[in-house]
Amino acid sequence: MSEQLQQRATSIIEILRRQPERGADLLIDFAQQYGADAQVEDDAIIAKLHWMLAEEESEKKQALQALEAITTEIVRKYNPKALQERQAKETALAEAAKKLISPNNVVLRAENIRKRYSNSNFTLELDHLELRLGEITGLVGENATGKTTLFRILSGDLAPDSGVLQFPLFAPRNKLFWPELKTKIAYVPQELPIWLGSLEENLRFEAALHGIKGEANQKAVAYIIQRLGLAAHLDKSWAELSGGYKLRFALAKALVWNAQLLIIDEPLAFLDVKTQLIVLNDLKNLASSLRHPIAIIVSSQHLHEIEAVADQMLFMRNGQLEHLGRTRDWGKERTVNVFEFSLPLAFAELSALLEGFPHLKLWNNGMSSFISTSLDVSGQELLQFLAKKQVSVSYFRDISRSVKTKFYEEYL
Amino acid sequence: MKNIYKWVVPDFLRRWDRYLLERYPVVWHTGAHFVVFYALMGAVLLFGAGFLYPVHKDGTDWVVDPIKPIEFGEDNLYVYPLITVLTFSLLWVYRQFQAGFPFYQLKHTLVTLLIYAGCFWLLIGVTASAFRMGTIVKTAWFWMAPDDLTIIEESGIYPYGFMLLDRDTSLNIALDTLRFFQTREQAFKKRWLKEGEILNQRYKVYLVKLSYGSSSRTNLSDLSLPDLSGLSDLSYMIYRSDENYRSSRPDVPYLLNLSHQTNLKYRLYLSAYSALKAKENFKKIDALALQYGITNKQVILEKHPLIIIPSLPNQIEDAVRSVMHACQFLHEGVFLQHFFQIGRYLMPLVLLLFFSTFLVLRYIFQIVIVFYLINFLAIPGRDNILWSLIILPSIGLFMLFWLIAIKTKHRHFKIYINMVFLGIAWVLYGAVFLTSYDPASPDDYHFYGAQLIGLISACLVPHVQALPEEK
Repeated sequence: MSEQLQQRATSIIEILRRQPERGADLLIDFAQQYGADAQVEDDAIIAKLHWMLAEEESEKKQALQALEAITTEIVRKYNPKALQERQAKETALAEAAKKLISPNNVVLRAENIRKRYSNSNFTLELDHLELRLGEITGLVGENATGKTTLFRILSGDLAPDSGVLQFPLFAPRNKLFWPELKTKIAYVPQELPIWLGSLEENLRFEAALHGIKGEANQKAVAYIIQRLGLAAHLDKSWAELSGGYKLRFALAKALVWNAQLLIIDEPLAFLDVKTQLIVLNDLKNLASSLRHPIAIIVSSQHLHEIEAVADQMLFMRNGQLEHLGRTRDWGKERTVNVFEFSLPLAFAELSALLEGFPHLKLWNNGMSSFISTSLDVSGQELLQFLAKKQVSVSYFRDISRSVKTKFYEEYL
Repeated sequence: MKNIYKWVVPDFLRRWDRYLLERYPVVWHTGAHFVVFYALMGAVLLFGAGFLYPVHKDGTDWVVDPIKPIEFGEDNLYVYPLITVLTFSLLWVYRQFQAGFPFYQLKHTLVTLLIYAGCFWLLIGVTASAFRMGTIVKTAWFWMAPDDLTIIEESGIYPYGFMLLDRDTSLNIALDTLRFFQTREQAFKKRWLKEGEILNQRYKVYLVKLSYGSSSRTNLSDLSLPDLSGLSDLSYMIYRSDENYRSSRPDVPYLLNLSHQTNLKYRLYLSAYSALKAKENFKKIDALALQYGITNKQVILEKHPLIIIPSLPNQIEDAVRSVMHACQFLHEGVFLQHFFQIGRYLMPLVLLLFFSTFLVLRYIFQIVIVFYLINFLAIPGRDNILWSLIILPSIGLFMLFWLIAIKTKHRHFKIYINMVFLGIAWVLYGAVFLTSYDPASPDDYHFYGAQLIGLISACLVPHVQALPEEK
């Protein structure tokens, strides 16, 4: 094992010399896997940032040497037994933390919230909602259903006409003192405000303002910059950033400190697939963090991605909360199965093809086809049927237990 | 842009910037480190420039630049640097305006106000006054050697502020002048001990109208003037501390203007007033006068034994007094005195900067129009004007309290903060520029009332800012 490790280290060093940025990324992964402790990963991240931000050749060389030194250090300090012990400890801690995060740790409770916009005649109504520590809540719905309005109310940005908003963890006696509350809530709106000054300074300022100071500030900012791939854009001004990077920076600003309630409006909209995964993973890790578990509510039109990480899902339509429940329970009481798939056939051909397959309805949204069946028909049977017909399936998904079915209720 | 930044901001300051950003975000947000650095640098430069500024000049315009205490509006050598410093400070104000006030806690507001106060004190109290301090230090320490100063002092040439004016005839010039000087010398032996008092009054105009027994502009008892009632023929005296009456001014037209006299005899008398006593004394310091660039025009006296050029004693006096006063200013801590003097304007400036981050041009226009309508409709009168000075901030404060009570902020809540801003701006304007018209004198309760309202409002602002919006 140690020979393999040595070989990998050598290869990383070689890559570092040829392609420093890629080499540094590999080193960070390497440190995460084999580092004696979490500090090694932090050091690697900071060294990478030093390299990226260095302007003089000598500074770059120095940062590169630091990266190589870290690689060598990992191999030198490698101890399989200690590593195993560390991993086991982390797993045990994570398990313990899950138990510790009691379902009673309600961060936010909203009852009978109502907000009416007289100009547009739109009314938002929410009977009940609870956000708990350690949980991610996904909010989905069609456009203009009041998602942003709800988020603004929950974040204290907008006052509801009526209803009760409680923050049991922050304000146990239900006395809302917004100056204090707002220091615990991070809200990333859909329409991002303009950042003035250096982007890096904005991140450092946000972290410092929330008590992350000194070295911890440097590490936290370096980590989030590395995590969201922002280093190459630190020199730019806000106006020079693309929509995607603006969102990434806004997310970084919200994630760089330990908010206890994180409200994010459409975070995935402008992100590429890779960054979507990073953000979702980070949200998941943040929510169930050992030290600072937080409650997260996030809206998105990327239904499957959100479902993959959310503990509970909300579905809104026309300002009304239509469904609220645990993600795992979604579709438990369904009466039909629904499958989404793509075939290289016209809809008429597909209809003709599926005549022999027991189904209730077949419809198409222009991109994919959908088929509803009785509960005793499985997706595997559908795939086998299509295989028998020698039709190649380019996309298939069982959405029976997905919130996506709410968008096609008229067919069900 | 980045290159300019690198050039303008030295390495150590960038390191400090980073240090404060990571550890003290509220302090960093105020930009105080930049202000301190550039203000101190500016102070050093201005001090140097003040030090190089010529305190004497051999010319017709002026000879010795009179040393004055550092005063708002009174002293151009303070006012011009002040205007320059405030112009540069606009960069800082603009930075603060752009950055806004992103805090929700009272402690952050208080720290910000405190730091702003320190910055303004530095800018107005130290940097702007550095030029004048340079001239004072140079005059006190380097302009005249102590020995030379002693020679001049011992020469007895101290017209010291009094000049006989009109109504004297050529027959009694000698007698009255002699009597005048005798009386005056005795009086000034006492007064000399109260030089500080003279300094304080030095730049105020005192016309003493002896023959009619009344003072025209000020309370004479404050001055403890010598008893000159025996000088029945002297109808006017002018206390030469009048700032307009310097050796730099052509004496005769000025005095004519004061006395409304055009009598040639009178002018002659003015030229000869101190000849009897002082002429011999001047000879003692001729060499020194030349050495220090004080023009010696005694040649004229060779032809006219009873006449001396009045500017000469004035120049001598200015020279001596400038040195002595500069020494005394330093001894008295003119710097600190100046600080206390500007202290009264510190709070309005701090509040204006604090509220400027909430300024919205549209609201300012609206408020100004409404305010002028109110004033236009109001019954004219001093009290009304005074009350109108704090009506704006009062309404603004009331509305901020109202928002806190209903726990919701209007979308246009900044209009209330803008009202407080405008109120304080108006009061400060009145205090600085309209003191002669009484309103908003720094001593009146409206001036301090508006500040108090501003301070309370500033403390409420972060709370109001954190409230959810109505729409």
